[in-house]
Amino acid sequence: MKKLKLILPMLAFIFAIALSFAFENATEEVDYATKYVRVGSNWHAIEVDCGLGSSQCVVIFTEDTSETPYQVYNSQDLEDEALGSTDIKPIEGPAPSN
Amino acid sequence: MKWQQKHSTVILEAITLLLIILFTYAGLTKLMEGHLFYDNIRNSPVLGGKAMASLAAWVIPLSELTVAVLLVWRRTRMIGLYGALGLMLLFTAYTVAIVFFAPYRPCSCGGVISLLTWEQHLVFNLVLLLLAMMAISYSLKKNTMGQDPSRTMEPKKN
Repeated sequence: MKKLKLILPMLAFIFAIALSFAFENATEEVDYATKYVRVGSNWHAIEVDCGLGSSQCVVIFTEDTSETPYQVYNSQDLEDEALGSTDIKPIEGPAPSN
Repeated sequence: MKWQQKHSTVILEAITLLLIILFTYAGLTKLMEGHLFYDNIRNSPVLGGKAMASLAAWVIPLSELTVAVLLVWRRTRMIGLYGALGLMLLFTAYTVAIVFFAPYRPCSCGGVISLLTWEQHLVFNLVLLLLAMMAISYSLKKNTMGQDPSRTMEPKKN
C-alpha cells in the first residue's frame, strides 16, 4: 500500500508526459500559409497563420523596434486583404526593408 | 470519524494525482509549443509586452513542472500543494481579467484545453482552485491530528 502511494503519482507523471507528446503531435497542424505584406512600394512574402475570423489579418515583426503593424494580403493585390482572428500575429525577425 | 478519515485520504490522493497530470501536461505542452505560448502572451490584452512574454514563456511552464514534481514525493507534497494553489490563483485571476475586463479576447491556443472557451476555462480554473484548497485543508487536518500522510509509518509488527 505504501509503495502504491509512491508508484501511483509516478505513473500519473509518466502518463501526463505521454499525453502531452500525443496531443502535441495531434494538434501540431497550424495553418501557416504564404501571404504578403506591403512595405513601402514593395511586396514581401511571409509565412503566417491568420487564424479563423473576419477581422483584418495584421502582423508585426518581433525585431522591429517601432512595432509597426502591417496588413496581410492573400496575393500581391491591395484589394485582396487577408482575414483572420482579431489578434496581431508576431513574425520572427526584422521588418522587411523597402 | 473513521469513515471520514479514510475517505479524506482517498480524496487527497485523487486530487494530487489530478494536479500532477494537469501541471505536467500543461507545463510540457507550453514548453513544446513554446512559440505558440509566447505569441499568446504577446497578444494578451492583460499581460502583453515582449519582456513579459519572454519571461512567462519560461517561468510558467517550469513552475508547473516543478509543482508536479513536488507533488509526486510525499515529503514535498505540502509545498507542491501550496505551489499548485498559487499557480491556480494566478491563472484564475488572469482568466477573470480576460473574461470581464479585457477589451478583446486573445486565442487560448495550445493543448487540448484550447478547445474550451474563456468562460469554460474560468469554471475549470475555479474548480481546480477549490480542489487545491480542499487538498491543503485535508493535509493540514491530518497534520494536526498527527496523521500526516507524508510521514505516516506502518505500525511495526513484532
